[in-house]
Amino acid sequence: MKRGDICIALLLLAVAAAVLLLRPQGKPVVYVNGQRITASTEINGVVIELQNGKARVQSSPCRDQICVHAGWLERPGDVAVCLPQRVSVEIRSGKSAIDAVAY
Amino acid sequence: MVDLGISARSKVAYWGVFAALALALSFAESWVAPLLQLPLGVKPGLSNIAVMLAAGVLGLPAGLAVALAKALFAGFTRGLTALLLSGAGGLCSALLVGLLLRRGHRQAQKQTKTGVTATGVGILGGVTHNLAQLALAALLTQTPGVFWLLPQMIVCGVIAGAVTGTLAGRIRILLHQA
Repeated sequence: MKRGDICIALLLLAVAAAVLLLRPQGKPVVYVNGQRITASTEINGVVIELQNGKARVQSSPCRDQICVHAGWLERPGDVAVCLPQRVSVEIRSGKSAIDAVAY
Repeated sequence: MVDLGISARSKVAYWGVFAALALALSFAESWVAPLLQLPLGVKPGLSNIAVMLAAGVLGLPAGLAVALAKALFAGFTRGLTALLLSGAGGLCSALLVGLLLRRGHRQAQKQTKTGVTATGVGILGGVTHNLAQLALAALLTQTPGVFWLLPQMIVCGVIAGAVTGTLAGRIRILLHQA
């Protein structure tokens, strides 16, 4: 491993860190395949559970169960994807947690 | 491309050897991965060693062909989604790695030092592989929010790519000595 290799690795890790910092803040809102949901639902056989503003894939007929193991999603930017069933569950940022800012 | 003293005829055989190696490594990985206690869905991508070797020793077209063979194998054993994911990740990374190694070889002939070894090429290939898969996932689910998974995908790509790239580099040196 030479200096060039280490530079490449550090640059890429810096991009990863920058994306982490860019994650949206605010009130969590649950979206399934781009549609906002407010109650537990089922799509393409994938059961999505909603509880106290958190969401998770409760069960899925897929082979790998990666979506189920993603666990509870609670902060904006949290995503679970089930590619075999073509289902995505994501938390987006709703109205800001801060109502107003006065200067 | 490196001259290993291979005739045009035996070159065809080498394409087959690297394709077979890729499939064998894919298969072996299904045993090795559980031992490493990796998070679900994270794989070391050992078969990309064969893709890198094919691209480095035989050239870019061979690298792409081995990536394609790998994707078809994934398709036969695990279905359409696996075929698309393996194909997107494999072909994009093979393309980049193939181009980098070709350029690297030209520079080596001119005896210029870039300070980038097979490890660095592997890292770029690993990250490209994961980014292509992420883009496909965003497309298949129509969810741009999938890109918030970028940090995990980059970190995994850097680690897996460093391991497979280093191994491919070492094996290539052994091939030249043989």
